[in-house]
Amino acid sequence: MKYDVFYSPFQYFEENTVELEDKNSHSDFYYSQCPVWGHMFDRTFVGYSPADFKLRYFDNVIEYQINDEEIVEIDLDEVDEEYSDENILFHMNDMGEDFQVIQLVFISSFFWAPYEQEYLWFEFLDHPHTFATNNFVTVGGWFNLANHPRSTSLAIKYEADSDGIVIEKGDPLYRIRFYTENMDDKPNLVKKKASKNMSTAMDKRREVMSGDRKFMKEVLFDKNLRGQCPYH
Amino acid sequence: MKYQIYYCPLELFDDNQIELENPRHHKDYTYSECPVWKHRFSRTYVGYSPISFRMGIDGDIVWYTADDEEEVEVPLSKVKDYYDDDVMYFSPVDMMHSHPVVQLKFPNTHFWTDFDNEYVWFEMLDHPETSLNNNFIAIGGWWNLGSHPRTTSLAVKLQDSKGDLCIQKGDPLYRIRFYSDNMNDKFKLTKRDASDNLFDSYDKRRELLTSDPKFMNQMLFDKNARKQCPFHNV
Repeated sequence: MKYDVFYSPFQYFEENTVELEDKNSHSDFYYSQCPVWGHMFDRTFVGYSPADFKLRYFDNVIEYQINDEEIVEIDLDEVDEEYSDENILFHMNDMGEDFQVIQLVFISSFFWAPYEQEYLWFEFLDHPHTFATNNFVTVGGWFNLANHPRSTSLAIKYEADSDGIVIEKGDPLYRIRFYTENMDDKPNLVKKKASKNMSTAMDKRREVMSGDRKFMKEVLFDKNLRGQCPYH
Repeated sequence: MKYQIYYCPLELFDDNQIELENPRHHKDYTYSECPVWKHRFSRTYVGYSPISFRMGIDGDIVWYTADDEEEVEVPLSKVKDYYDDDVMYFSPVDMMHSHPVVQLKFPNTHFWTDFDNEYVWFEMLDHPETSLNNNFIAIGGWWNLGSHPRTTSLAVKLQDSKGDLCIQKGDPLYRIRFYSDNMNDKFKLTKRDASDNLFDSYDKRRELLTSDPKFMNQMLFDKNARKQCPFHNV
């Protein structure tokens, strides 16, 4: 079965693309004829950077720049628990001496599926090039998107004592996959503006779920949750 | 539901390890408390190298060393269709690229599940650290292991053909994951000796599948392939 899934980038709507990789770039290799490689390849989307981005850590300061915009400097001594602006977010607990973890918010997109689709898992998966090319590894996860349409950002882990993060516009940064009850199903990922209602519903759902961890796990992972509703 | 999956390394049985990563490596980070990270982490196995290995390409020569053994040199001009020994396999066509591809045979492992598990998919997935640490990216794939238990090797694509591929014993090389029709199911991977019967039936199945691509696609990917057998319930 073929099914639709939608995404709506919050910033850089035109430049922020999540799409299948071009198969032609593999066609000269022997493995491109392998059916088990091809099946997975046809169901793995790649998220590309919508902008140039640089970030480095030195003397307890985080310094970053997007495109040719002004450089932003964040003195960690002046951050209490958490820092966030329109581009990045981090918790001070994650800003250790060895590895640091920050979220790149400017990559964020909202993902959702048609309401009738009750069981559609979403995976945010690392891209294998980033450690060598961009100096970071993506932090991923998966959950049932049909129960909890939501926005995702890109959490990255990098060595604090390194040359810093360098991303060029168009670099592959992460992979997206979808799973249903049948691994042979095929997703069609479409870029589309999300309505304000969707974000509002997500915020309300998050509020309810974060107050009840058992319910949160049911919503995120249980298979027949929506079937349990008496008005289903 | 919990599924049992088994693996049998064809070589270096004791040193060839595939296991869940230790969550303690992540416990200091905020994301380790995130349920969507934890759910996937507890279902992702990592394959570690059973040996130290180094290979490179110098002009016409492909060379490699495994542990402390003598260096092996293979002149590409003397390889016709493919090169194959105990340690690696490659086609000369795949060596002409800026990112050459070889198959490493020392991680070769046979995977299978209990016969009753008709729908358990197997995925061989790259590991995110190899591009920088080892100068390669593993080439992955997935299929229904319930229909086709099989042996896997590790196909790798060099990232910088001018640099060496360098693996230390114990390095994470690839990831293994399993899927059923419920993503909340759990899988327990156990190392075990495979019987000769398993290998015999695997060879016979491969012979059949390679001669009929349509049947091969059904066996690898169709959900109800086994149910179509008229003796399924007998």
